[in-house]
Amino acid sequence: MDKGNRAFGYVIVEEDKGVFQGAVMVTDFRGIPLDFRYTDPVRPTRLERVLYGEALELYLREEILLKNLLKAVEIRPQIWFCRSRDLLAPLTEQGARPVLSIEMTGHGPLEKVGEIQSQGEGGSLLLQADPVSAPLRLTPPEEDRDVEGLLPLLLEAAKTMELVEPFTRMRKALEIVGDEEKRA
Amino acid sequence: MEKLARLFAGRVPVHSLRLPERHLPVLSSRSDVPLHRLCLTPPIKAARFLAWKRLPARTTALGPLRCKVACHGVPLMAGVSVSKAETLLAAAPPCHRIPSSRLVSLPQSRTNRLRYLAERWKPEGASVLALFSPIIKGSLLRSALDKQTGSLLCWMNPAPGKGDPFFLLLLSKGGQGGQRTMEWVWLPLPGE
Repeated sequence: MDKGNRAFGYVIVEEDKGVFQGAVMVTDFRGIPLDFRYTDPVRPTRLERVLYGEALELYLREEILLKNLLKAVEIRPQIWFCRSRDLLAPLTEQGARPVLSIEMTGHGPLEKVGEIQSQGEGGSLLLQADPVSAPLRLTPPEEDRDVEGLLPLLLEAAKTMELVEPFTRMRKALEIVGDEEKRA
Repeated sequence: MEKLARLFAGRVPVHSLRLPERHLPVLSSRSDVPLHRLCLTPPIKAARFLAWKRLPARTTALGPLRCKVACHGVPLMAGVSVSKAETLLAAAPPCHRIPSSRLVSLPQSRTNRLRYLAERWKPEGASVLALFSPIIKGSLLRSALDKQTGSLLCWMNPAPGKGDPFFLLLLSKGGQGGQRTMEWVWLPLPGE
């Protein structure tokens, strides 16, 4: 894949007031969306909640939403990102590799761009991705702790896009889709 | 014994007993007892997991190239190679196209990073009010400052193209008569 075709994949699977929904957006290194997929909202009944208990949420998130989303995506990104660390293992199991959870932090900037700082046992690290921002917290799945191999791509993309910003746009996109479907 | 038999032979009348005919009613213990089910037609509710298994993941066309969007294996943007990983394309779920005009018009947002600039750069005769980064100047179609959040909303040209990333600063400059004016200034990123 040449330089112009590099892409990141962003995954969200959320629950709001008993309704589960997921979305995937693949963007290029400018943050321009190349593919956007979302699922119908899923609202389990009270009976299903009682019968399946805690397993229900896990099943919905991983087997129903995540699996269908990943099947639908046609562009394979260089790195998958999620916000919730709980999604790291299921994403890896579904073949979405390499994957990292990525978060904004309130830390002061590290000394120079590209500097990393380990965050202890969880495997997380802080990365100073650009010259004027707080470092990002990156967490790999337990099975694949090699984050450093991905740093060149992250630093390259951070020059032209905000690495965490697509999550905000996906949230807005889901709101828009929901509004449009209510009106339809 | 034989003499006695001769004496009484024929003397003993034998009668048959005839009972008058009576019609006695025969009663059966059987009766029609109504049976009631506790629940006549129990409703059966099923979990919808099977239906969910087939949950369609919807797609939307993006940008001016939306005519190229297809549900079965065509990439959205020209020139983007599609890696058909077995795990991802084992089954093609049904896709639906939806109106995408509003999605396409979704701007990217850039947060104000002024506090990270610190003392590193101070323009003469002006103070920096906001710093947004990174923005590819050549791809920026339109921008607007969101006064509620302080973010800059950027509508980017989705067409593939090369462009260098810049800082965009909002400066407050002292003008004539003590009046201050606002000015937007582009600065190249360090190292670009």
